[in-house]
Amino acid sequence: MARSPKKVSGDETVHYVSARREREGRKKHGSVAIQPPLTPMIDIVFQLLLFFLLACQFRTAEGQIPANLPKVSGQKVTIKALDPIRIKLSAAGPKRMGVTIGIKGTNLTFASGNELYGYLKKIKDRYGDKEGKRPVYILPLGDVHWGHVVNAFNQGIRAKYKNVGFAPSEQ
Amino acid sequence: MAKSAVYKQGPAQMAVNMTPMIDCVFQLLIFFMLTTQMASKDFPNIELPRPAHPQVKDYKETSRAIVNVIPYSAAEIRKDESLMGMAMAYTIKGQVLNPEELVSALLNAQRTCQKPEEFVVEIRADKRVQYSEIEPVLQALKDAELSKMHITAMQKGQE
Repeated sequence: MARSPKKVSGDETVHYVSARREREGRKKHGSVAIQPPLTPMIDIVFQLLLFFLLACQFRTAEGQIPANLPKVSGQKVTIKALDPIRIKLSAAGPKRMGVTIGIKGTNLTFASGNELYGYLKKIKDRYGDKEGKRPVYILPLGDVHWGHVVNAFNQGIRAKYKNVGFAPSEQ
Repeated sequence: MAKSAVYKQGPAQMAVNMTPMIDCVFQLLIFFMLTTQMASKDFPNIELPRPAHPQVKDYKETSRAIVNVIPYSAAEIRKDESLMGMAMAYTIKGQVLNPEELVSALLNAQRTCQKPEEFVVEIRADKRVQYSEIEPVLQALKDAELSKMHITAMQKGQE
């Protein structure tokens, strides 16, 4: 007679039954539940989970600000003379970790990148430079931290200037 | 002895219901397997610049070389404060390079990339490194006559 598997009700826990227990169960009740051995798989799954939990290090969301260096070779392009804006950066504060942002040739200083952006935007609007053709040069001193240099560069891009560049450091 | 009316085949066996826990474990496992990005030589753990209102995009260029500028560790700086702001190493694809080797490494990366005409150099430098330490990379770009450059920064900046 064909053996029919035992039906497992909803809240009943099922276990792997060894061959010996199956024989004993068959003697007692006539049929036993047939289940694949899940325990080794669960063991491995736990091992994997533990590995991923411990080894996982989420990467910070980073992106890129596009920048172009002037091409050395190629056709010479005549640029209409526009007074460049020279943003001067010098290290300041304790352990020289801060920055002073100023405009070369003036005594203007800015406390933050947002203030610099406001100034750049104002200059752009005042001279009707809709396309942002006026060059913006960033002149950092050698000891200025890269984070401040990138912040100033970013403000130039944010104010929609097309020609934002770095100048060699001044010591 | 009379049999129990409730448990006809003897006393009830204690068993913990494992099924919901295993369900959750599987869900977690799948989540971690899909989201985990294994450590890559191209992305060492450094503190990236956080500009105000960053104008960054994730370009995901295929023809690129990432130049990492790695600072000294906090422990090394504590031992010798003059190392603060200095670059410990310049790396491309995990290979540590001298500033003088950057030009040849960049040109080599351009030659071996999929589309040399679209080759981009990504400068991925720690925000605490001084500008004078980044200049050799800019100089190398100029010497290698590479004009396309990207600067890596955090997508969420300071307010």
